[in-house]
Amino acid sequence: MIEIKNVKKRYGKKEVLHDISLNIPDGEIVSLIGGSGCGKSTLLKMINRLIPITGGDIYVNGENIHDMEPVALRRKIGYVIQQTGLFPHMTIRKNLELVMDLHKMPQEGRTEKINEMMDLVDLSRDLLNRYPIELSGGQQQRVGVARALIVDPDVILMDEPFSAIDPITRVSLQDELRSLQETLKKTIVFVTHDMDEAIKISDRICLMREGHVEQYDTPEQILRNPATEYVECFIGKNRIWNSPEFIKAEDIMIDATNIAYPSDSLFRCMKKIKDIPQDFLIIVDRGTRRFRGLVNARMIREQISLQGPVSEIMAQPKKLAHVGDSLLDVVETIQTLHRPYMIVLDDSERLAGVITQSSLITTLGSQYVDDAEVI
Amino acid sequence: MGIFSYMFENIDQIMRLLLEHIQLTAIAVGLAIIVGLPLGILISYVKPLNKPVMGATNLIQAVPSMALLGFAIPLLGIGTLPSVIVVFLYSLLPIVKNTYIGISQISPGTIEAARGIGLTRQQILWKVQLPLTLPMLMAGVRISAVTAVGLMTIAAFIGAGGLGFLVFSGISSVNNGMILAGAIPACILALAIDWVLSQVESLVTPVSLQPELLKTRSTLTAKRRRQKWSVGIVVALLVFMFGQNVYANLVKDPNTIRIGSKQFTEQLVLGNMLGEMIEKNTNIKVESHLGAGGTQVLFSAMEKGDLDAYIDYTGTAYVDILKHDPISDEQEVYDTTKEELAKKYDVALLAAAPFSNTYTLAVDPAVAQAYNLHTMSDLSQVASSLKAGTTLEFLNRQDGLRGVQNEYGFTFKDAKGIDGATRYVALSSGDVQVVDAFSTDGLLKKYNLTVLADDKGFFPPYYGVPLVRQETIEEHPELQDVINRMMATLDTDTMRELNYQVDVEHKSPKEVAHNYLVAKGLVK
Repeated sequence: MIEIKNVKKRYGKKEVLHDISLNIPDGEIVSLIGGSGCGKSTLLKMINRLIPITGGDIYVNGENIHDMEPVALRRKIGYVIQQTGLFPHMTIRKNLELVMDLHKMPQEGRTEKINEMMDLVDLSRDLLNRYPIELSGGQQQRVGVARALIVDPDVILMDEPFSAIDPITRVSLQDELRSLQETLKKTIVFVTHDMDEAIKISDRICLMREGHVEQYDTPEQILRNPATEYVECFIGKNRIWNSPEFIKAEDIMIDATNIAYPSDSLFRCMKKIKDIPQDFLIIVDRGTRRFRGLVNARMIREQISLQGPVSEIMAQPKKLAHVGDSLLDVVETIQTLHRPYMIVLDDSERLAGVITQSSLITTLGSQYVDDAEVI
Repeated sequence: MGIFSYMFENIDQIMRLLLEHIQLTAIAVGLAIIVGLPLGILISYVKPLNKPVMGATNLIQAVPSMALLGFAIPLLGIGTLPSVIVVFLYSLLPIVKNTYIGISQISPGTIEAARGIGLTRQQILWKVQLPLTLPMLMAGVRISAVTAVGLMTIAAFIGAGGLGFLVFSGISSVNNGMILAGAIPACILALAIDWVLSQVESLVTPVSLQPELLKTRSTLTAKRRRQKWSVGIVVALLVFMFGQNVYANLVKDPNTIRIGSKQFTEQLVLGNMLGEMIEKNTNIKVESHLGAGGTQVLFSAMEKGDLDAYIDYTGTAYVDILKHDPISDEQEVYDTTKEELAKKYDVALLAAAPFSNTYTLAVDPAVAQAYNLHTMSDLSQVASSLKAGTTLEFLNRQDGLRGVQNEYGFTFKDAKGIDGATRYVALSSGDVQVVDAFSTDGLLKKYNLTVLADDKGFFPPYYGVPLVRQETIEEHPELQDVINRMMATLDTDTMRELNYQVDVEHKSPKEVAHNYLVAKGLVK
C-alpha cells in the first residue's frame, strides 16, 4: 500500500506537482498517465526518493519514506525502466547478481534463484552469459523485470518500461505482466503515456494533467464516465472501441415494446403480434417485469383454442443475456443462436431490454460516425 | 654504417638509457593517472570546477615544452625530478579530459537505474561509471604515454637522462650515429607503448561494447586471450625492471662505491676511467651512474649519500655549489673550495688535475695565421673586423663575451648566438671567425682551430677535480692515492685528445678510457 498525501514538487519557483493525494492499494497495478510534463514520472520517482519531495508525505506500507535511508528504501522497492537500465558492461547473470549482492543474499541458492527468475519471465537460461546488447529489446525488458523481482519486493515502480519496444513485442509483454501479476500480486506503479497500455494492464488509472490528478479510477470508469473534458479528450472519443470488453449489453440494447403478461389470452397475444414488427412476445410479470418466457406467432397458430392464458404455452429461450455481458459475449451468442435478437435481463432477472439486429448495427456503426452518441 | 656501428658498440649504454627512459616515463604517466583520474571524476561531479581545471590543464599543454622545462629549473633544479614533473603536467590533460568525457557520456538512464535499484554513490562509481569510462581513460593514457616518451627525450635538456641524453650529446658533438642511437629507440619505444596500451584499451573495453561481439564470440575470446598474454608479459617486464632497481637501492654492499658523471663526453670518459681505475687497483666494486645529471643532481645525490664520488671542476664547485662570485685566482679557488666542502658538506676535494676545461676563444687557423693571433690580447687589434659566433650562454653571461671584451678592450664587429656544434660549422663556412669553446673540446682538434691563450687570466679556472664523500675516504683510504695517480696524468691536450677520440672518431668513452689507462700503465 502506497499512500501519497498532499505531495508537492517545486523546481525553483515553478510548482510542477500541486498537492497530490493518492492511495495505491496492495496488489494492484496503478498506471500514472498523462501528456508529457504532467508530472507522472516525477511522482513515480518521488516514491523511491530519486527525486526529493518539496512538500507532503509518502507512506510505503505504512512507513514514511522520509524516515528511511534513500538507499535502503530503494533496495526495498523494485525499479524497472527502459532497456538502458541494464548495465551494458555486465552479463545478464551479473546484472541479476548485482541486486543479490546489494541484498547480501547468500551465495548458495543464487543459481537456482536466477534460473527460477529466467523461467518466470520466460527467457532461456542460455542468455545468462550474454551481454544486454546481444538481446532483443523485449528480452532486455524481461531481464529488467526479472531484476526487479529477484529480491521479491512488495512494491515495484515501472517507468515507461515498454515504450521503446516494437508494438507486437510490447503487447505480449503487457499480457505477460498482467498474467504474472495474477500470481505475484505485487503493488505496481506503472508510468506510461499510452492509454491502450494503461487500460490493458491497470487495475486503476491515475490520469494527470499539469501537476494534478484529473481522474483516478478503474479503466472502465474512466472510459465510461470521463470526469472532465480533458479526460474525455485524452482518452479519445471512440477509445472504448479499442476495448470492446468494456461495452456491455446494456449499452447496445433497446427498450422492449413487444411484451405481454402471463395472464394475457393467446387471442390477445396474436392480435398484439400483428401490430408490431417482431413476430414474438416477451412474457413478463405485470409490475415487477420479471422475465417469464417467450411466445411467437407460430406457437400460437398451432393451438386449437386461443382462449387460454399465454403462460400455458410460452417457452424458454436457449440463451439469455444479462446487462453486464460484454459486446463480445453478445455477438458470440447471437452467432450460435442464428437468431438476430437477444433478451437482456438485469441482475434480478427482470427484463431490461432487447438486442436486435438493427440495434446491433446502430451501435457497431456508431464508431464510424463522429457525432453519434455511442453509449 | 656509422649509425649501426655506434649502436652495436654502445648497446649497453643504449639499453641502460632505454630502461631509464621507460622508468621516467612510467613514473610521470603513473603520477598523471594517480592525479588525473580523481581530478576527472571530481570535475564530473562538481561542475563548477570543470572550467578552471580544464582551463589550467589546457594552459599547461599550450606552454611550449622547452619553456616549461626552463621554468622548472629555478623551482625544482635540474635532473630527474623537474623532468618527471614537467612530463607529468603535460600528461595530465588527456587523462583528466578523457575521464571527464568518459563519465559524462554514460547514459543517464544507466545511472538512474543504478540509483533506482539502490546502489550507493561509491558503488555507482566503482561498479558502473569507472568500468564504463575505462576505455576512454585508457585512450587518454595512451595519448599521454606516447607524448611523454617524446617529451622525456627533450627533458634530457635539463639533465633527465634517458634516450634524449644521446640525442643531445649527439647534437653537441656533431655525431649523427649518436643522435640516431637515441632517436631510433625512442621512436620504437613510443610505437611499442602505443601498441601495448592499445591492447590494454581493447582489454578494458567491456566485451559488450566491442563491435566484434555480434560477429563471432569465439574469435573475440581468442583475441582477448592473446591480448591478456601480451599485456601480462609487458607488465611482468616492467615490474621486474622496477623491482631490480628498488632492490639495488635497498641493498647497499658496503664494499661497493657509487660514482657518477655529468652527461658530456669528457665526463663520460673521466667516469669510465675513474671506475676502471678503482676496480682494477683496489678490491672495491664500483657502481656507475654515468651521465646521471649536472652538478646539482650529482652533488645533491652525494649529500644524500646516494653517490660516493664524481669528478667536477674547481670553478663549478666554487661558483655553483658554494655560491661564490667567480674569481680567477686558481689557488684561492682550490683552497676555499676544499675547506668549505669539508666543513659544510663532509666532502673531500682531492688534488686537481693539470687539465682545465675553462672557457676559451678559438679562431679559424687561416685567420690566426693571417693576423698572427696567439693570445686574447692579440685580438684587440683586429676584433673590429671579426665576427663572433658563441653559445647563447656565453653571449649572455656577465663573465662571458661581455666580460672578455671589457677585460681585453676590444669589440667584435658582430656577435651571434649559435648553440651547440653548429658554430663550428659556421666557422668553417666563414660566417664567423671566432667562437667560444671549452678548452678540452675534442672538436677543437677536429676543426684544427687555434685556441687563444687567456694571457690576462680572465676566465676562472676549471680544473678537473674529484669530489669524494669524507665517509667513503675514511672507509677506503686507498682511494685517494689511486684517484690522484690517475688525475695527475691528465693535462688539457690529453683531455682534448681523448674527447676527440670519442666525439670525432666515434669510439666509445669506455674504450677510450681503457686504452688510455693501459697506455699510461695505470692498469694492467
